[in-house]
Amino acid sequence: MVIGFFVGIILLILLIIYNSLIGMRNKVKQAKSGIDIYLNQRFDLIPNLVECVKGYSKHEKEVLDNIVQLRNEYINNKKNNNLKQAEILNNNINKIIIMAENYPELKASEQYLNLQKNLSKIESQLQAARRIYNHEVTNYNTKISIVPINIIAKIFGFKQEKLFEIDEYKKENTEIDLG
Amino acid sequence: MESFENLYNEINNNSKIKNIWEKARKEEKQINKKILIINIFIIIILVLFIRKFIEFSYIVIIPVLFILSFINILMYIVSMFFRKEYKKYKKAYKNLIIESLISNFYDDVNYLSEKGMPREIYDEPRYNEFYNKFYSDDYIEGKINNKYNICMAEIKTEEEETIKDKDGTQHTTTTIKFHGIFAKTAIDKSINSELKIEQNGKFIFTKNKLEMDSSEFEKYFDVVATNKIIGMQLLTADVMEDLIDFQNKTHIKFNIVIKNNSIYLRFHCGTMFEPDALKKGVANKKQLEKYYNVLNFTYNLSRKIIKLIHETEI
Repeated sequence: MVIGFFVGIILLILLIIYNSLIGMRNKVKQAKSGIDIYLNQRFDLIPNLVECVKGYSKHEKEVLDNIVQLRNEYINNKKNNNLKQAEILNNNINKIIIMAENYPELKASEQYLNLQKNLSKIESQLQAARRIYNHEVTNYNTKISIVPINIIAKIFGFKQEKLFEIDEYKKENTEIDLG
Repeated sequence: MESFENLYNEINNNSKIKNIWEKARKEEKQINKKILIINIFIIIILVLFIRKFIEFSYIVIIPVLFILSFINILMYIVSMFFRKEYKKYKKAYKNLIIESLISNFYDDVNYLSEKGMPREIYDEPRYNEFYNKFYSDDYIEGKINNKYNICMAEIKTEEEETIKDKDGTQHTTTTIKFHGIFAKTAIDKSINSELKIEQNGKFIFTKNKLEMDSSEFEKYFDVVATNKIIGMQLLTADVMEDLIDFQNKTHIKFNIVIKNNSIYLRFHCGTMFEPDALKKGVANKKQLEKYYNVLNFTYNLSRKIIKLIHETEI
């Protein structure tokens, strides 16, 4: 009778912990899908951005081709794409923006100004989504690291999630060889 | 925009306000002297009266003290009507000191100390509290960067409740719901979200609660946003730091609502823009600094939010 009571209590605690972990993992997934929306919006602007920059700068063909290739890989591999790939692609967009600062004519063109406006709008939304995601991931990772929850997490296959790091658009961040 | 120290020195060196204050202080001293003489006179009469008609015991002291306090309060109230110089000082305090303080931050300032803010404006952010008494004065209108309209005023809201006892006697209780400064800044762009920042853990079980990525910020504030992304875009690390700094510096409880094309700020700071005791100088430095901090915070935060809304195309 007493043993049954204690087993019942333990099972109840297990159930509560399991459900809370599921809830937290779902929050992480939800936050990740928020990031995906803004990443896709941002990456959809790449062809236009590349076309626009190509018209003014002939020396950066390699950089521009590289980003187009990265974007195509990202789209073709959408099901398996991870945040690391997205980080690289996103940071490459920032490189192009910084590169464009060396071409006053490009910077002044209406098409580029519109693109930059859209990019910075999505960048801000992406940063906001990233903060939400990283906050949820930190909470989740902390929870599954605490004793004895870490044991339950291991049994049920809850794994640590990676934080999403992207470089904000900063001039001093990247150095580009302008040939 | 001048620093508080510079502004305070300017006020202290203003000969006009200094002269008015000196006259008011002189008048106060004279009135105090008269009240003291009347007190001594009353005490003598009471002592003579007690000695002649009543047998002295220590119990007599209590009614004597009561009579004296009552007469003193009465004399103080009556004296207020005759304090011409103090009235002049109060007017000058508002027109010269407070107005210069406000003009330090805002353009086209219109400060009407007797006028209140319309109740409809205060009701716009829909604070979740019931009140049936509304008082307002010290209405300020101005512009931020000559472009964005801002209005603020001192507001007091109360809930007056009348309860009937079993025996039929009625009791009226009054609860203060809010007393402090309320400000509204108009933005030239409407945001498609409602953001509320509170300080007293009001939103613990609210559906739209937004958990922020700063543990320090979470310690003091609770945030509710109908659109979490916009909420995060507006509450940048810089803005969150400003809110924490203001809280730590002033310990004034405040809340913020950003909705449609307006920013609403409410400071639970009690009476504002009133002069302190004359003996504390032309203007009480501590009190004036509190006013400065509230105005400065309102100005900086409004500017930052407007800038963010424009920069990020919210």
